[in-house]
Amino acid sequence: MHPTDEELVAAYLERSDQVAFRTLIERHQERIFGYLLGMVRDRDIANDLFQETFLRVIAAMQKRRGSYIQQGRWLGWVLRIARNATLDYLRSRKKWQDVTPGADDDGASFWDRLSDDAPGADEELDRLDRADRLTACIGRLSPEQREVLLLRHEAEMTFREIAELTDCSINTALGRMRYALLNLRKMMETAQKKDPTRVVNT
Amino acid sequence: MDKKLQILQYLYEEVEDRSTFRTLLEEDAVGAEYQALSEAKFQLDHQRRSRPDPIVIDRIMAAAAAEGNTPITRSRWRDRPALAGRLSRRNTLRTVGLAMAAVLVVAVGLWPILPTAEQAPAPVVADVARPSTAKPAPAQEHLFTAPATGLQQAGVRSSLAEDALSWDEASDVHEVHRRVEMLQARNSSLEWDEPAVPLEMLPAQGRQLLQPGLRPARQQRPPRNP
Repeated sequence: MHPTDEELVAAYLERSDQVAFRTLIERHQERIFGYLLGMVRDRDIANDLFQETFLRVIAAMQKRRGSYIQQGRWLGWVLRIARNATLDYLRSRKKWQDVTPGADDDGASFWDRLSDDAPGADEELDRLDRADRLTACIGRLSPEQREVLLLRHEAEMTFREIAELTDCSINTALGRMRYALLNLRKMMETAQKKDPTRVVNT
Repeated sequence: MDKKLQILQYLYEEVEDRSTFRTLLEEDAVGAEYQALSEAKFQLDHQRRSRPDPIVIDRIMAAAAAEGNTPITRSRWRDRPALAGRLSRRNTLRTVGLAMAAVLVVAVGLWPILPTAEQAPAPVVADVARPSTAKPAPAQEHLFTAPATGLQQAGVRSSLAEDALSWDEASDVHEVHRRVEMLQARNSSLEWDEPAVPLEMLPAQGRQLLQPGLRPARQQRPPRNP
C-alpha cells in the first residue's frame, strides 16, 4: 500500500526523510511540470519555475517562509505556489493581465470574440506533428482558458478546486474550460483540413 | 447552472447522477456540444506527459536535505534564551536536590554513631544570677562536672579532676581567692538590689576600700573665681 501525501509530508517534516520527499516530488512532478510548461511554453523556464516552486515549498514546510498546515491537500497547496511563481514570471514578462471576474463572465475571452475566418492563422500548425500541434494549439488559447485546461488535464484538479485556486466561481471555471475545449477542437480541425494525411483522432 | 456547463462536469466524471445526464443528452444541442467536447478531451487525454529534467530534481533534493538539517540549528538558535533559562532553573533545582540528598545520606550514615536520647548529655542551662542562700563547698565550686557517659567519661572525669587540682594549687589563684574572701567579708553589710546611695553617705573606711582612687565630685571641682 502506497503512503498518502500527508504521510510522506509527515515523514519528511518529523524525521527529515529525504526518500519520502523525493517520492512526493516524483509522484506529482508530471502534474506540476505539465502545468508550468503549458503556461510558459518554454522548457528551460518551466524547469526554473519547477525548481523555484519547490524551493518555496521547502521553505514553507520548514516554516522559514510562509507555512504549511497539514490538511490533506498538499498537492493543491503546492500548485498554488507553482501558480504564484508562474504569475510572477508572466507579469514580469507582461504576458499576464489580472482580470477580475464579473458576474456575467462566461469564460469567453478576447480570442473567442474574434471572427472565425482568420486566414493563415494555422499555417504554423501545419509544420508540426500531432503532439506538437496540440501543444501549439493549447499555447494559442487565452491565458485564462489555457490555465483552466492545464489545471484540469495536467494537474488533474477538479473544477471546484480550480475555481478556488484561481479565485473565481465554478461557473466561470467551467465556462473557460468549455471555450478552451471548443477552441482547441476548432483549431485542430482547421489544421487537419489543411493536411488531411495527418490523423488527429487516433 | 447552464446545461452546457453541466455536461462538462459529467464529461469529467465529477458528477455521479447518470439519470440527469441522460436527460441532458436528449436535447440535440446539448448532445452535439457533448460530442465536440469529448473529441477535444480525447486528444488531451492522450497527450504525452512532460517531466522536469532530472538535474532539477537533484537540486531540489539537495536543498531539501540542507533544509532538513538547518532547521534544527536554526530552532536551537531561536530557542536558546528560553532553553538557557530552563537549564539554569533546572541546574539550581538539581543542585539543591543533590545537597539535600547529601545531607540525608550523611545524617543516615551518622545515625548509629550519634548518641541516643538516653546517652545524650543534658542540655546546658545557663545559670541565672540570683541570690543564692546555699553556698557551695569550696572544693566543688571550681570542679568541672563532665557528663557521665559510660566508661569513656570516667577517664575524662578523672583527668579533669587532676587538672582542676593542679589549677587550684597555683599560688596566684590562692591569692585571688583570699582577696575575694576578704572583699566579701568587708561588704557583708551590702546587699544586692539596694537603692543607690550617694558616695558621701558611705562610711569613710568602706568608701576608701571599695572605690580606691574615687573622690567625691565636690572635692574635684576647681576653685571658683571671685
